[in-house]
Amino acid sequence: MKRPPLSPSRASDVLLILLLLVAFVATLPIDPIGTIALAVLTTALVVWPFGVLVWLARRWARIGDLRFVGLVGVLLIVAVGSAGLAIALAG
Amino acid sequence: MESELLAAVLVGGLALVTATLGAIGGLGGAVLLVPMLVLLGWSPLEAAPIGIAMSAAGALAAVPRQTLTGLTNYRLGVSLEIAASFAAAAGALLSILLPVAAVQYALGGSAVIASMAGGLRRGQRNQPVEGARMEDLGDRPGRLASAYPDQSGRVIPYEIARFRTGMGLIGGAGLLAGLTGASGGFIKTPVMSEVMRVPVKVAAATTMFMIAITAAVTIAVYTSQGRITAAIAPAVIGGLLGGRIGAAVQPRLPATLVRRLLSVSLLVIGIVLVVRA
Repeated sequence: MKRPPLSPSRASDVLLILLLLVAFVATLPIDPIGTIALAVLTTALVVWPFGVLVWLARRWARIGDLRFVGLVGVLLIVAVGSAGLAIALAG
Repeated sequence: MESELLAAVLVGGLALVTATLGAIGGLGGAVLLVPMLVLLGWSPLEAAPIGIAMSAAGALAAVPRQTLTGLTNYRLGVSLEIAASFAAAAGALLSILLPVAAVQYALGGSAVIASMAGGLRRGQRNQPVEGARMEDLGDRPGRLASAYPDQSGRVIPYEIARFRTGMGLIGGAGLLAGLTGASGGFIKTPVMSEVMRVPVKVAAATTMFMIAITAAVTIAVYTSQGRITAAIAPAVIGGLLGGRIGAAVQPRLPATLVRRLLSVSLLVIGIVLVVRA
């Protein structure tokens, strides 16, 4: 039997609980579990907002709101570009 | 070992409080948490990644809830964040040329002015409209104007005013934020609310979405510099819980109370920034 998909509210609650668990493990001074948990936590904090932007772009593309899809593209380029520039300068 | 545990509990507790305030007022909260940590003995270099991790976690916990309640205006957030991100990158590049103290005075002064603008305003600009439906909530194709629910579930439509001026000011906030390393939420929310006439709850929720993007970029930079350590984990726990609590409480509060809370927080932030400068 096919299971019904998670509602957005339920999915965000599940992600929140998972992230809380990972953050808790990252506080433990046990290597390499703590280090791996910290890497997962950092990746989630960086990737999640960009995932939201991609989700928005797909949603707006579906309803034909291409002006705002273009704005999401510009924002992604500016955000990733500025991070890359700062990392390059720091390096 | 005991002192490490105590420090983690302290960071987690402070992150919880600042993230709750941040989600209610759309401030992010790092601008409050970082000076507190510095006062308690953390170095600014250690405190900054802890603050930005708390802001990111708070925003990630708050944004889904605020989206479901129809408060986040994604179209406005994406449009304004382009100017803020571009200016923040320019600010980061210029930061070696300008004295940090002067910029902090400017930021502190801006926070105090924003606090007075919001605090002195009386009443509520946008009113519920008879016949408006819950389906009208959230963003609409091709438009920045939208509608949001008040604390009793009535639908309040709103328009965006002075978009270009607001975008310029948000760009200015991004520039100042880039110069000082702050996420700039404490400028973005009052600019949206007082200049662009966006309802304060919508401004706060939209700023939280913008903060999530700014914080993600900053965390990527800090990771490349090796500044992300296990010390951020308790702040993330506090930020996640605080962001969720703030986002759950905010829709139940009257807009005038949210505006007053924001004004008081901005006044505190302004004083903290000027004292630090």
